[in-house]
Amino acid sequence: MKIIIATPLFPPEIEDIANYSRDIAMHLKENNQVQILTYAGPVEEIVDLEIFTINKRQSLLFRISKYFIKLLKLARQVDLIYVQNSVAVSWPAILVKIITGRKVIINFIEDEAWKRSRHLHLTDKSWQDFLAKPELNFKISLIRKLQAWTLRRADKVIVSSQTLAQAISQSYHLPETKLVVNYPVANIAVVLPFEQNIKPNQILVFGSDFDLTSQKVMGDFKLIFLGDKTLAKAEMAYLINTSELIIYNHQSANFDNFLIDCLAAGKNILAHDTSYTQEIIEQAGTLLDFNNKQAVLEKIRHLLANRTEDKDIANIFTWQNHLNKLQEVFQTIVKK
Amino acid sequence: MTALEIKKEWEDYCSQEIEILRPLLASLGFELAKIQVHIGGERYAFSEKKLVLVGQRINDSLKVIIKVSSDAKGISEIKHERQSRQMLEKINFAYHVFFTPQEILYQEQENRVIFITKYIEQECQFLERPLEEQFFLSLKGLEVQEGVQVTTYEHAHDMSKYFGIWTAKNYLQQFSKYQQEVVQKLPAEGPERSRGEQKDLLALYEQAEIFLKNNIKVIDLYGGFLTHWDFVPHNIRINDGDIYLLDHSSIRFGNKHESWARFINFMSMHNSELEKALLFYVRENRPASEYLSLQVMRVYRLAEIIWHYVNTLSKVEGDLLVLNNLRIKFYIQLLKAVLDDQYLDKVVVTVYIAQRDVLRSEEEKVRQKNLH
Repeated sequence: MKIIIATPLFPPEIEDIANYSRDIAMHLKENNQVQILTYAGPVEEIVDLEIFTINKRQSLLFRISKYFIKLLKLARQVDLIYVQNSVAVSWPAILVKIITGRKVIINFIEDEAWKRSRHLHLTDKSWQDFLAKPELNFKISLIRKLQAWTLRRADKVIVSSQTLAQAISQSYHLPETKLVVNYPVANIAVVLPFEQNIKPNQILVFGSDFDLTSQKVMGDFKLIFLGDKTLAKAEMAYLINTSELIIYNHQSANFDNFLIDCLAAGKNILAHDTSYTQEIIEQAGTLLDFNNKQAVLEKIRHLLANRTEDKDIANIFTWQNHLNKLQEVFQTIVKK
Repeated sequence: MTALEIKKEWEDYCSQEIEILRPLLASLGFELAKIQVHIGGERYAFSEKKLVLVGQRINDSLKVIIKVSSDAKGISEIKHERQSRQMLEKINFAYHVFFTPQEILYQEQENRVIFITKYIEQECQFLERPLEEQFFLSLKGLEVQEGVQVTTYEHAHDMSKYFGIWTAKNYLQQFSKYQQEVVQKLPAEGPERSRGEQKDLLALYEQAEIFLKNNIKVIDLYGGFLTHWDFVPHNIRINDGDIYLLDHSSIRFGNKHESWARFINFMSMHNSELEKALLFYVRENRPASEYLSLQVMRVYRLAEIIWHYVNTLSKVEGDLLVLNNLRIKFYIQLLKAVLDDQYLDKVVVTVYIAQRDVLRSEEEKVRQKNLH
């Protein structure tokens, strides 16, 4: 199959969307003819793979126009365009689809409206809550409208969970048949220059939605509260790997990779019972209503008193599973 | 001007400024601490006429840092630093934020600028922390910088005005300046250096120049990132796990490994375990091109630090002159090691540190005590 990966970012940019674009291209090129179109200056090269760039150092309209023209040219020789969501990419891609009839699949890897609202401090809501009730200014409202326009015209929209699919369907008024769930891939283990042995009684608390306790030490237990602090990726991986128990203290989801990375590492997880945690954790962890603080604290004590080793559960968040699903979607769409 | 005269001029400048400042600060509600470590020791040989003083706010004893200058270059540096702080706070494409000490007062007078910020307390010095903590704090500080990249036309337009954007061309031009000045200023022969050693150094610069020129592409590949070219422990403070940047005058947009290079070169001397840990991390977790870019920047920054110490040789004398010659020798050996992608022999570091500690003045030892 001939595929163009249309992405707004590519390494050396460090955003997740850039890294995913590189990684998926490297995997897809094993069985497909892949090209990449991105906004960038110099980019990290990939052997045997063509990367086309549109220089960002020009005005917005000019660079989007150039992106559209280049995509139009490339699209004539491919089966489909795999778009990493961003209006600056999805908008030209849908225009190309209208002109050429090429299939367009949008990977809704992130919501540009939510991301920009967070950066502009318009909202501090989770992605899930923002989708239910977004805070908007003129620019964000425009982005949401453009996103809705492109999502409705895409052949398929890929999302990272069933819960996200429902939230997007309601927020952007998309038919559920347009949405396909393809679970993301757990981040590969970070290689550190020292041991990552489990520290007995270390509990990692991710999120701060429920007021469980402010004590950093509970009896023999040492709690590490991540709260809103920014950590180096390596430190996050280190804390996950060295903790005996992970507490996922979120009422609503950001649909990030944290839970998935913990599951892939086989960690013991205690989480608030939501549709998202039910879907992702299933039987691999313990779900509770975190509104009942006493029950949560008792459960923590119980889990640590009856220690179990890290779980040996088959990791479903692998490249193999992700690629199989993606190829299946591609083939179904191209055959239509 | 002789070395003695330069030292005396700095000391006179400091006393005069402090004399004028005391009543001035009192009228603004501040007072100076009795002991001022940041203006003593070797400081006279390196800095513009900008004083970094410790003090407190009179009404609540809040500890503060007072930067002041009545010298044109010093004034310009303080103004630039404040502008950089303000600009960084405004960056709307900075997805990761810096912590900066709170500004308490800024005053421009006819011939003097006073800039007062909150003193950031920290539980302990950076180098006193366990290796793992040092490692993760370093990564966090460096990744914060990597999170800010000037990419689009709009970003470039705004940022170039305040910080400057360096490309491979700028680095090469600057390197060429270092090379020429080292040739001109390094005494050909003397008690500290033989003709052969001087020849070796010039050959090393030529080798470094070729290495940089061969890797122009990789310099620009990782260009356009926010980078603090003096990212070392004495320019940051850590409070409750948050990293506060103290010096904003050393920020520019350029190759993202510039700050990594400065930090790792510093650690080659101060904590080689951390140097090795950081290099291991880059080698194992990042593309090979990043490791190469870091090596290129380490070479560039070492050429710069050798140039820096060569420039001081005419301004210092006695033990400090001997020490700065030793520093040049030390960094030459480190440059050789980095060009060969090797670690510096531990014995070289140990011997250098022992000699340095003998040659350092007591005043400088006090200044250094709580620096890192």
